[in-house]
Amino acid sequence: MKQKEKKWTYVNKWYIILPLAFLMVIYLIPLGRMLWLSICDKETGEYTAEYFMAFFKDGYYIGVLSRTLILSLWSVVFCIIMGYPVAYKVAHMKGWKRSIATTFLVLPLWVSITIRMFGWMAILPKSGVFSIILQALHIISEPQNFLGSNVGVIMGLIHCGLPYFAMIMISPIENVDPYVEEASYVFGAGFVKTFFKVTLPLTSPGIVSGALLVFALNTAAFMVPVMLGGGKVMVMTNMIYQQTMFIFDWNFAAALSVVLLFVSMFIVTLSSFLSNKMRIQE
Amino acid sequence: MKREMAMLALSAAVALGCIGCGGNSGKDEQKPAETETKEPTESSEKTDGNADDTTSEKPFAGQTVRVTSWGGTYEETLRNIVKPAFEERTGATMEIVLGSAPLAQLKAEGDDPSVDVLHVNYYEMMNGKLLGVTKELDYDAMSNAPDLYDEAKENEYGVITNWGTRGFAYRNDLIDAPTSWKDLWNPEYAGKVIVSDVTFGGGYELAEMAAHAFFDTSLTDKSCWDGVFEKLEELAPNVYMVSTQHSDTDTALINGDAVIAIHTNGRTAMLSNDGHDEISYADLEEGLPGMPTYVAVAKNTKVPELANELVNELIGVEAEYAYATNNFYAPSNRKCEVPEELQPFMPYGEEAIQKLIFFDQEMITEEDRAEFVDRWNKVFKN
Repeated sequence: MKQKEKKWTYVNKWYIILPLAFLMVIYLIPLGRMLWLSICDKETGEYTAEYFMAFFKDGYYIGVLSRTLILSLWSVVFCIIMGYPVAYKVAHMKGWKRSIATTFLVLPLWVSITIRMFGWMAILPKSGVFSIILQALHIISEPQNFLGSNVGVIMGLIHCGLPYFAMIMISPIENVDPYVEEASYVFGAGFVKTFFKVTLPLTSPGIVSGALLVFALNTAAFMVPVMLGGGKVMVMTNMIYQQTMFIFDWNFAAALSVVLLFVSMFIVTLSSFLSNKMRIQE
Repeated sequence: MKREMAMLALSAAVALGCIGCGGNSGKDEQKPAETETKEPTESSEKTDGNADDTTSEKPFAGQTVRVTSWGGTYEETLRNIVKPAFEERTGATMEIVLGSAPLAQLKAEGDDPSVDVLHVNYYEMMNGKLLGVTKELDYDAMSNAPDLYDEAKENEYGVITNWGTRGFAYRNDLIDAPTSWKDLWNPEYAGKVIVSDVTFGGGYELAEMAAHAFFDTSLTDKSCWDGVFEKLEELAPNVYMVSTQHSDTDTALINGDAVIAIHTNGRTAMLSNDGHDEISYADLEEGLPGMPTYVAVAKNTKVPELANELVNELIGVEAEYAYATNNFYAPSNRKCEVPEELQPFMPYGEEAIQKLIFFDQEMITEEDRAEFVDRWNKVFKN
């Protein structure tokens, strides 16, 4: 029995080492190269901070970074608002109903992002369905073009992030002990009070995980702003692509990538920290 | 062990066979082009040749050449017409790699490029040279080179296979025919103008034509840049979309979301051809910027002779005729005669080509290009 345990531990070790080695090769080495490029003068090869200075000195670049984060944050907010109820309902379903609901949830992910965005490109223009619906609802008075606007990009980001968020939320909601909710009802709390005082706090770690995943994905989104931005919405990923593929200034592109990476990491870490702190206080 | 030895021997035999094929290819390189190049409009000049001769003159059999191409109809012509003819004549396989020229990728790949031949625009051709990822072309080794207009072979790093123009596609049922580049600034077109993005091609041309129309100068005169960008800022409120794909421009024009767009003559002609009579191409008083398509060869290609052979094919009469009749791009080979009814859709003939406006991007330094794109972003992507 002991031998079997040892063997299993031995195999288990390799299950960790191999994926880590894989990640090391395809992630850490290029990351190291990128960090080096961002502080290396392209002419002399000496250390320099000029690329970071160029970024932080120019308000336009700061604006692009802010837009990237804001678009991503808005998409996260909408994913939470729209994804949580869906996940809540699916988590309480059983049997074939649950299978069908889960299938519908992940169905968009089976279609290439390019195809999905082409769909949105037909929906968002001035003559598109989105504008017509908003007019019918008297939200806008005349046809409006949403292609090439922040709204259009947010719609695309929500479409991409929503299935991930909802899928992630199903397990935490499912793990809430039904007796806890029942006890709340027994003591006279209604659905709304039970939800906000019991279910939501118990599932908040799941919300944070889902939100962080969607935020990370959407901050790094490339196809969505390219296709729905109409060439007018510049975000960090587009700018990195432009600097790399068109201007061929790899050093500045590396500096942009480093800024985006560190800002995203900072926000993710801060969110996790605050979430943990709140949980401890509770 | 025996099995391994047998496999080794078999591999060695195959490798020797391949080397043998490669060895012959260099010597016979020009023969297939010389025997097969023909004028499609003059059937009497066709040299049929017997089948046995054709089979024996396939010096590149077993080799593969990879060529980049823009997608859509350009790629359709390459895949459906040029590729079968080239493969039949040379015995080689042509792999088409979709997308714009991967210059940065070639730079990163160094000695082992992932493509051999590249379709490039003027800007990419200049950058390929600047980055050192393309090589000088050997015009002497191309049997079709003497038939090219002089303008087509002015550059050693890329040969022009055809010319298009960039001008205005407009909705003739919604607005009067534009006559000047200044018409883009017409306040009546607010929110209904499409310009091409600088990274897509067309951005420099717009700025160049603004320099011509408003300041009677060229972008190579950097003192006009402030004025040009001020004018572009004035244009920004009129812009519906900064297009990065021809299809987006097509769709917006068809739907009437935009009424005027900077577009190529070829795509506009194709729209008309598809029954969209409401879309026309304008004749502008300041003239039209030329849009040459270049073909370049990757510097470190492993199949230089075959790559050269493909370039030769692309400047041949058959390939250029295909692009002229399918894509409405004017041939650079003077022997390629385009049907009269199609000639008005393209800058056909040497005289028409000489009238096109070309902006000498070589005059703009690397730093200037970065500055141009930066200022462009601040105007249109704010």
